[in-house]
Amino acid sequence: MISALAEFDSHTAAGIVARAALAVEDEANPAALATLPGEDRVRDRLFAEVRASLELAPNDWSPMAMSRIGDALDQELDALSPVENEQRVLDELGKRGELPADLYRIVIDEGMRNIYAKHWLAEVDRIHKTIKKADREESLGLENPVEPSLVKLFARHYAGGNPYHDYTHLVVTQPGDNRQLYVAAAWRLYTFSVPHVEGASLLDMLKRFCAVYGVKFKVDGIEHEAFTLTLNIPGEEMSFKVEVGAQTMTDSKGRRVPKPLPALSLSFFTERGADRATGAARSAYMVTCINSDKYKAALVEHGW
Amino acid sequence: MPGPILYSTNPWFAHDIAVRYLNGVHFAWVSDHFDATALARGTAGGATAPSSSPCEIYTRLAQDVVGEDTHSFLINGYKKTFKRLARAWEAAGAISSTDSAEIVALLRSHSWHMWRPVLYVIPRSAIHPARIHAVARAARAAYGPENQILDLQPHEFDVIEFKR
Repeated sequence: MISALAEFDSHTAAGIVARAALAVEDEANPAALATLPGEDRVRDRLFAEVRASLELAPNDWSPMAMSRIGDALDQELDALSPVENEQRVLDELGKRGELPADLYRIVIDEGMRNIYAKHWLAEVDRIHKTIKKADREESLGLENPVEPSLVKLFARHYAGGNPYHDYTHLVVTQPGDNRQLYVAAAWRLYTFSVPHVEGASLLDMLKRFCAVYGVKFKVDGIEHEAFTLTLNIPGEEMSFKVEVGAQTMTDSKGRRVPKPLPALSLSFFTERGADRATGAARSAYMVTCINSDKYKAALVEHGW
Repeated sequence: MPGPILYSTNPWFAHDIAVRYLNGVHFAWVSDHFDATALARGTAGGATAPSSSPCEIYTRLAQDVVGEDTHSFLINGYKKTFKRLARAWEAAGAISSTDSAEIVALLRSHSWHMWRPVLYVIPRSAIHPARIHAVARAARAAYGPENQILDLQPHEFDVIEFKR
């Protein structure tokens, strides 16, 4: 411990050292200003002690000397305020959906193979690229001004030689434990098939995609048109009944018969949390239901 | 005569810290010109150091992120600065010890995504002149003018990111 700091508790000492290190780097930084009474004198003693320990001349203000002083102060800062278990801190951030995209382990739902078939490996590569080099990211979920974690959407636009085949790749994920980012769906929104996506929020993009390729479904008896997002449900009990289909058609003999269902891609996301003000339990869910056959036909139309 | 727009290049992490931990209050070095090299020599703006030019910083930072350059002078400098700032803010009570630990843990992580550059585009009309602080020559990188805004609010500027 530097003797100039001996009279201070570690919290106060860390502040003094941090401000001194900022002053070494950039005197113009307002955060470098001394704030405690007599801190300027303490800072002078601090610098003198560090210079002596580094065998630097008192009048050596060279960039190399200042860099070494800054590094020595950083070491003292680490000793005064260590971070206990950094990996657990990152795990917690991951669970909340607050990690940078490239720190997540991407886990892709194998059920998507049914849609992409022989193009599966290429699509996996594309999903990784869209997440790690997204044009835009958006988080949805319980009321959280920082980062909701029900769903994280990533979007990247891919343009080639023919504008008709240009598309926005929209990846729908949910952050989970152990810094995993679970990819539930990845859709290509072709510009000429899903209108007005430019400038739209990623949530609006998803809704417009569902409007083109989705099928109706019911959650607990309430019908939805391919998409629903319900936030801030009181309590944390989540037991839903999702029903798809139950449509009828007229057969060749004029009889009303159940209409065969197309291949479907159903995604269901849930989140439990607490009201920030009252601490009361709350939950949220999002459901999408896509006609996979119709979507695959669009992929074929665009060159697959 | 000053132009209508101020520009500031920052790593995305700086913007994220301000939004997440500092109630949206941003600190920014700002310039009247996005690209000082496009100005005539002999003008004040043309004398801005490359290390203070928003265009140059954006280009260099983007290259370092794409190349995952572990020796990046910019990124290593940012890491040191933000660690010191996190501790200074914690000592001042501006952020909690948990927030400070999160910032430091992220600084020590292997993310490159968090260092990608973003450009703040600030309409000068949104900022009272008294809030634009001219930086003294001794603290500037070269003769050209450099300014700071200490308390930029989210509604006062736009954040843009060029496609990678």
